[in-house]
Amino acid sequence: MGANGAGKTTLFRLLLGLARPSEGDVEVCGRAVTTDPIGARARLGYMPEHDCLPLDQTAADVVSTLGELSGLPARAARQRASEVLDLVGLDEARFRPVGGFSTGMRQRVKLAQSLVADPELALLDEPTAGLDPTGREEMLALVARLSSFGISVLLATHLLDDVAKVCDHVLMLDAGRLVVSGPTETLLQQTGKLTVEVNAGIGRLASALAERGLTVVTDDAVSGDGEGGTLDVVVGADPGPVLDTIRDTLADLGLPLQRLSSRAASLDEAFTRGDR
Amino acid sequence: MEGAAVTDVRGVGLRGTGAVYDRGYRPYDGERGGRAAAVMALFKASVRRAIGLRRPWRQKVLPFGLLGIVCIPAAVNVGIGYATRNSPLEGFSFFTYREYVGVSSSLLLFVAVCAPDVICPDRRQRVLPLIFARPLTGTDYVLAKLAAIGSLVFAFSFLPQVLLFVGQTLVSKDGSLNYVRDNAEVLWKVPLTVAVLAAYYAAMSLAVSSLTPRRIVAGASIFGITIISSTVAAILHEVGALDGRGPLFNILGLPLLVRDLIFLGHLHEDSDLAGVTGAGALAVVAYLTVLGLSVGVLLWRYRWAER
Repeated sequence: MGANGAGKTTLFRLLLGLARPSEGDVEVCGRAVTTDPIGARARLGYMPEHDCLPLDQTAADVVSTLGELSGLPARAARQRASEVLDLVGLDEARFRPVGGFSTGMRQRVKLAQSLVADPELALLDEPTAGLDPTGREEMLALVARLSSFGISVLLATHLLDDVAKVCDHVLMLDAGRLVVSGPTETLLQQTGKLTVEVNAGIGRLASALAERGLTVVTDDAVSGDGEGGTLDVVVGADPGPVLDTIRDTLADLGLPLQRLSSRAASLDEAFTRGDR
Repeated sequence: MEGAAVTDVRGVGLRGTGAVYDRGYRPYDGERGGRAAAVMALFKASVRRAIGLRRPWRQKVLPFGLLGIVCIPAAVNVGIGYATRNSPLEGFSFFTYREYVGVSSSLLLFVAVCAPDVICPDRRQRVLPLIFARPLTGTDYVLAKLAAIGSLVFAFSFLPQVLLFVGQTLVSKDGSLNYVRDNAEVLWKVPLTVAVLAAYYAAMSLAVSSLTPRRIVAGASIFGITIISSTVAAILHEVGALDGRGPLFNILGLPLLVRDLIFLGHLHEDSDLAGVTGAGALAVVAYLTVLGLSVGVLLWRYRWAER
């Protein structure tokens, strides 16, 4: 994770052996990148953030050619291209030129080409960039499945929601420095807040939670009693009692619970904590 | 080959793509090549692209059209040879094998179209990061592209020669075997000369193309450089500058001078450099200089992927 310019793409370039570290060594999948970049790249799949596809070629040609470049025999590359395009949901579109694809479809082709040689580690740089909410969910669902295929994933993003959905470990970069490193759950719990979303009665809920001793943060714009909405509840080191109180309050008020989750921290909040 | 293990066959919500038959994911545990395989794959992809294979028919028109055009003189020559056999004109030929090698304008048009097409889109469409995330280096990339365009220029120049030789052999009045024996030297001179031209045109055109991401600019630059150099060479020749060595600045003419050296052992008497002391050696040096500079430019342009 990191804001624009934090060094995420540079980190990927270092892992691919396309940039030299100013100091130290880089090792990927047991290969020292500085001395054996070719060996390291043979084990990696890479999905860049930017547009990078030849627009006048079909998706099948693009993916199979890149599969051959990864060392697969031509026949195997064509078969693998067909399989991974099928996997990412482009089975019917694979013989159409990429230039006619939507942003979402191009992202899928980029993901497919990163998987075509069955890498040990896939480096995915902002895979949800430019996607609408539905497309984003679908891309994240695909990414989340990769670990079950035996492919480890290093995902670069500035969206904490993406991390919360698919990652089990977070590295946070700021201006090339490692700011935070730890399991995702731990990071999210450290936000110190729970988000409660109800379909109606947000105002009553806020009042009731406050009366029961909880610190509630609400948005004035959605705090009308009859309206649905979200509010944040500050939690301490042990969120258990707070969760119980929220559950009991909702039951007592008879309010329909839409969502109860650890509130995702903003990037600024995470960086601030990391700097501490 | 591929492993049989099938893992995780959950479906994924997909929009607008019709029915989805999720067959899951099969790990690949088959054969994997290294850098050589990657270079060969890039070479094949570049050749396909240059001649329009797996592309719309419009992309095939120019390369195959030009190939057809450069074959016409050979076909006509052979046809006349057949028509005039057993006549006073028997043995007549429009041109020699040496002259036929130098269809420079056609070669120039060919490389001005094909070379930018195999190298500029990679930069313009930002495909290079995908390519260099694979197990190959900048040198491998340059090698594959040079080999692709060089092979095509070789084929483009050599096929008409084959047509001419086979045709002349078949219509020869002295019999096929005698014709082959009498013209045996072209069996090595033509391939060698064509290889000299192919390496030169491929390196020069790719080097120019590597300097811009736009195909049209690259193509125009290739023409522009050759026209400017030939103009400069002509002016220097007219004013008698550099002791008559001005024609050495004609980039388009350099490989033809080397061709003459291969076929004749000396420069042709019609050459602007005929009679100039050491012109043959200077022509070879100039040829190698342009070739070396071109390869150097290519390696320099892709040095960032050279690890």
